[in-house]
Amino acid sequence: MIQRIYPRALGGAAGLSVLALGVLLYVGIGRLGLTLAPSLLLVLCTVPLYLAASIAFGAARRRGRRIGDYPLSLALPSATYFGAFFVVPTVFLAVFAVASTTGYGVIHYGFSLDAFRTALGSVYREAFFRTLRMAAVGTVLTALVGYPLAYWIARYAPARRKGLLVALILLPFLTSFLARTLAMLLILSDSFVAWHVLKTLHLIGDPPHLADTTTAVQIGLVYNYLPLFILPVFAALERMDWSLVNAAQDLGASGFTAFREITLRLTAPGLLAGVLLVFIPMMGEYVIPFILGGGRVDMAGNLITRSFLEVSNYPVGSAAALLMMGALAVFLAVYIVLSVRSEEQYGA
Amino acid sequence: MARLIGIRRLEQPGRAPAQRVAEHDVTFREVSKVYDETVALDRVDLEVRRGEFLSLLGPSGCGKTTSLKLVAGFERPTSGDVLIAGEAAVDVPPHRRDVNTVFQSYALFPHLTVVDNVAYGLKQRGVSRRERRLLAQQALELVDLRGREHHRPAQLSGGQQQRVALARALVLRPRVLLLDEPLGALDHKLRQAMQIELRRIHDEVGITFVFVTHDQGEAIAMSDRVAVMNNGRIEQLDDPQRIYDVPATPFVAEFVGDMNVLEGLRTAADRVQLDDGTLLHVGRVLDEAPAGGRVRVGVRPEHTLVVQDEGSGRRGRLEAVMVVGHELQLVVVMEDGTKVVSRQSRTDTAVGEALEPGTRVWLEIAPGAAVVLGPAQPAQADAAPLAAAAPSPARNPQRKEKTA
Ligand SMILES: Nc1ncnc2c1ncn2[C@@H]1O[C@H](COP(=O)(O)OP(=O)(O)O)[C@@H](O)[C@H]1O
Ligand SMILES: [Mg+2]
Repeated sequence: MIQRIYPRALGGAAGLSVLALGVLLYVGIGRLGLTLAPSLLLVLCTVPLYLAASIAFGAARRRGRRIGDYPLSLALPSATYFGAFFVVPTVFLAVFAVASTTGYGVIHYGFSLDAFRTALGSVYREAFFRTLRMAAVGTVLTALVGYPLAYWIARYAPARRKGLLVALILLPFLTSFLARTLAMLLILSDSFVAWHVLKTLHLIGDPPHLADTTTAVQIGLVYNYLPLFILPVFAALERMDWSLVNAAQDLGASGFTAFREITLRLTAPGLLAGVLLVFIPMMGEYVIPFILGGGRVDMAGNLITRSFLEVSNYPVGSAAALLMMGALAVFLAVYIVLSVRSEEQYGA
Repeated sequence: MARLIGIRRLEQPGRAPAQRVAEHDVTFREVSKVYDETVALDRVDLEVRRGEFLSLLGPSGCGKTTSLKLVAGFERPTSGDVLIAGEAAVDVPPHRRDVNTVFQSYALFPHLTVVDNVAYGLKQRGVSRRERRLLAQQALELVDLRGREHHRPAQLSGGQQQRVALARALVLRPRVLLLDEPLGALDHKLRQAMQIELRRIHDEVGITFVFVTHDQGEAIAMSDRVAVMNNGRIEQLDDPQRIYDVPATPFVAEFVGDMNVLEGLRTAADRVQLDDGTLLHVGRVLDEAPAGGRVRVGVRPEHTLVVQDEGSGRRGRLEAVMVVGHELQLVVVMEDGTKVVSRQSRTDTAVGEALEPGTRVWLEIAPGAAVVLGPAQPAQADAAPLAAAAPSPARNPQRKEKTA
């Protein structure tokens, strides 16, 4: 028991002390005003983290056993990456969030909750709930648009065409995200040629004034995240044993009941993965509202971007980012609980 | 309301509801089913009698599953009519048909417990929770599965899953139960036990069973009637004894039971002369082949006798002797190279069990036991002009195993 925990505790302690050291260093260097320091430090942090981790795993290996019977070293490369570029920056965010600022971009390190107070204020709160609403609506629309397609490919498309169809879904990813979004702007703007054609034919009155509206942003969100939704849902439906649906109908369930009680129930983990895969990035989206909203539609991401890049208010931006992370962590926790439970039920 | 009558019967077995008037539970009239280019069923006529145990027997791909899907309602016939209890069923969706299926792969719901699987159909009918439990429990007892009610399908063995699938379909007391190779995935011993069990359940509940199998032994052992299928057609529908004794077509003769296939010249209506000069008295002709032409004749192993002293038989050499239970199975290589399998009871055998392979023996064929299967395969004649003179290729009488 002790042997089992010891290497992990060692690794954890080593990692934490390295982190603490990094934070202290950064605060010290930050006082000196060296702007290059954060990036340099991030890179340097990976080295001691990696060393600490390999020492820990090495110790475990010398005892002739693998931790928890699994070769944890397989997780080492990604652990290093996440440690360096997620954990460490998050610690920085925390340091910024409790700092305070005077004037234009001058940061005073210390412990103050002012930034959180601002980030919980009405401007940010409104932006957060607007973002929540847009991401929720966007996710529901994405699901409504994407699910039938995933269902059709998985159940009815000829087997030898499936690969091609999935590739077609990924086709938009071959062009740059920015170019795609700008192209959308052309279509949504009133000067788009089709609106004129329709108007000349007296099919519509005026062009629909879509550009720079919440609707445009909403449409853009759905379009951009559609493939990300379709893929996991398709993967889940592809594993579906359709004879179960026949069995349900055979036992007296109507087509719709069989879909709800069997298909939907059994592919729920994939559906949930698809939902989170689009919902979470939608919550953090700032490029789409920036381009399609024309600066008139602010999502939370836009406010955070602005406080970092335009007004250089790192403390408020960090506090808002941390609060956002906390809110999203709740959704993630729900996902983990649900997916673990379904795994236990019938070993996906 | 009509559906609930079926449920009440569980508590009062043997009392058939009055509305069951049609003589045939399932009727196919000239039913064809074509997928893209494949003709899965080709103008099939079939009448399943009320309460009978009918097997659809045939090699893989002959259209057995397709037939069941047409009855269950998962497929529409390309042409022809499907009737259930005398009423047109083609436009009735699966969930409104008084028919239940035990699927080839069982198709148990992985997210539901055993008892919830069994109660699923009752729930769809709006039966109360209490009654569902009770009926599901009874159905599980009927298939002899106890103490697993709250397991999930993945925690059960293949045999247990099979019982759950059976209980799930039986609990609804359908007019017809369709079983698609339900024993296919079980090991030999379990399979034999389940054959007896299935037959017991059939007799106990009095429901019509349409049982699909590619195992001729299974079909012969269990069924009231057997429909032998080949290439989307029913070649013969008869009781098992007649299927074996009086096969209607060459395919049935070769598919059901073991059959030695020999070649020779048809010298008269009921005479075939084998290549070594032996004259066979033919009992039946399954496929008209012109007199004077080369024909294939079939002889069942039990209609042959191996003796050690020269008689009227053909001369050959013993290749193998096997004791199969109470029977002795002997393989004899004739002088022209043909292999013939002979089977005889160990108690009244003419040769000793200790007979060495290689011993010279004589093979006698019971008069009238041979059947003409049809003209000799033209493919052989075409392939090589020598074929007529050369020994016909050795046939393996146990060919049915290959179709599994
Ligand atoms: N959904 C389908 N699409 C195309 N061909 C099919 C389909 N289902 C069955 N077939 C073809 O129809 C024929 C009969 O199939 P099936 O009824 O499943 O045979 P069996 O159950 O006797 O093995 C086979 O040749 C099979 O390939
Ligand atoms: Mg089949």
